[in-house]
Amino acid sequence: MAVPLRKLKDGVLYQRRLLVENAIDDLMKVSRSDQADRCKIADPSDPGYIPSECLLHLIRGCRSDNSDHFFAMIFRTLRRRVLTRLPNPAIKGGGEGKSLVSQRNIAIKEYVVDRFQAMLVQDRAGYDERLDYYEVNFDAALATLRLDGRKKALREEKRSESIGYDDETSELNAEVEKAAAAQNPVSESKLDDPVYRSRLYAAIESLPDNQRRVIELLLRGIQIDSQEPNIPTIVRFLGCTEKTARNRRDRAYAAIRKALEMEEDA
Amino acid sequence: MSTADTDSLLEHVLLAFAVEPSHDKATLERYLSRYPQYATDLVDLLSELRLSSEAIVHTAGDESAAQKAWDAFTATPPRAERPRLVENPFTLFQGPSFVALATELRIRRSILIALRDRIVIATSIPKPFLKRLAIATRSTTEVLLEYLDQPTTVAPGASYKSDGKPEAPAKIEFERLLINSGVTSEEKDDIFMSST
Repeated sequence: MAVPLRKLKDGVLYQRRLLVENAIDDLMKVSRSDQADRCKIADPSDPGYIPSECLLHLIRGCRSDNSDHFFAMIFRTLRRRVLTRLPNPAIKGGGEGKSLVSQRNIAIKEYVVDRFQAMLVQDRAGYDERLDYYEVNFDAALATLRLDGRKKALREEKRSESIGYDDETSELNAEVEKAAAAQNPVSESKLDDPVYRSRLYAAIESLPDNQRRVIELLLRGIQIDSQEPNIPTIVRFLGCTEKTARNRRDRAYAAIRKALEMEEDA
Repeated sequence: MSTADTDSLLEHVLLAFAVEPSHDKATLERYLSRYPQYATDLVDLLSELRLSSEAIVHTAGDESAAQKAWDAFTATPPRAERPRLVENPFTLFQGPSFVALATELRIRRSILIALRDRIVIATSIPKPFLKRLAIATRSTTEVLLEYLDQPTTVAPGASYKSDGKPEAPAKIEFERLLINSGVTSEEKDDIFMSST
């Protein structure tokens, strides 16, 4: 049984997921050389694959252990797990199949790797409760660092959001608006198709932030506005007017449909 | 609240949201209602959580970076290898407040003293009572169990009254403690059954 986490959630200690607890228990039963062999398995569907949460747990428990070589290998494996969860600095688009280097992705990588390392060091010197979240769900917790890194990179690029029109006041052509609302590309029936879903999500990623946020909330079933004061709505959460929210939605729908059509034509 | 505190709260809110088992409508609404100031961050995190991991091309260059990272990690002296201090849920209750705590729990003071001094086997305490004790001490059942699992408190002074090293007395079952304290069957029923 692994040492309990210390982070509290509403008065109760956070717990690792059962699969993580079981994996830690299993790992403790095998020899270090077997553990080392299992570290080499990179395919998550392989039964011998060690969940990242376990690797982190081992590193957090590494003190003045004599097997520095062993822990160095665990450390490297964990570091690789972090790296493979970051956007690739090499991106397509160099022509003739060549790839380009994305400075933004490099910046995200450096940020995430540095911050994660700082947490590990802080935890070794004392205890960093933030790593408790990573032992609960490593990939999900790492997404917060990636998000932070992405925002920082964007700020540094000084890329303001594309403001080709004024959300608050500009009126969409009534006909366009009607057509946009009628052809909802994020309807639930379409989302059942996994191929459509992955293309749709890619299209959502490329939307301007303001439009993407409206779509994210719509995807979770949150409505645009309501007369009832207690109903959670997009207008309330994002602090915009109903008109603005609808404009963003319609523009997003139009952009998503265009992206999906272009992909079909390609 | 300073900027650092605000950043730290945001970081913890985002981490807590990220590791939620589900990011359905109810979970999202709960976080957005509780932390409206972080609405855009929470919604942006939804997109980030969905992003499929894109494989990175490992360059040979990372080997030296990985070695440097490991060296930096091991250069940090590890925290002292001693059991960490276990939180004492009874710290806040001394003198009159200790008496008031016994009254609130409807138990004799001698029983509360036995619990405070960790004379009782933690697992033998009925769950409803443990929960009541956690609520009354503004603690959690986990913290209480961890505290009660520690060795029995040696009476202050024992260390220099004895010729040898004093040993912690053996622990007893909770029910045995009640019998030894001479509680009535009504009191016992209350302790075992009441959830409030």
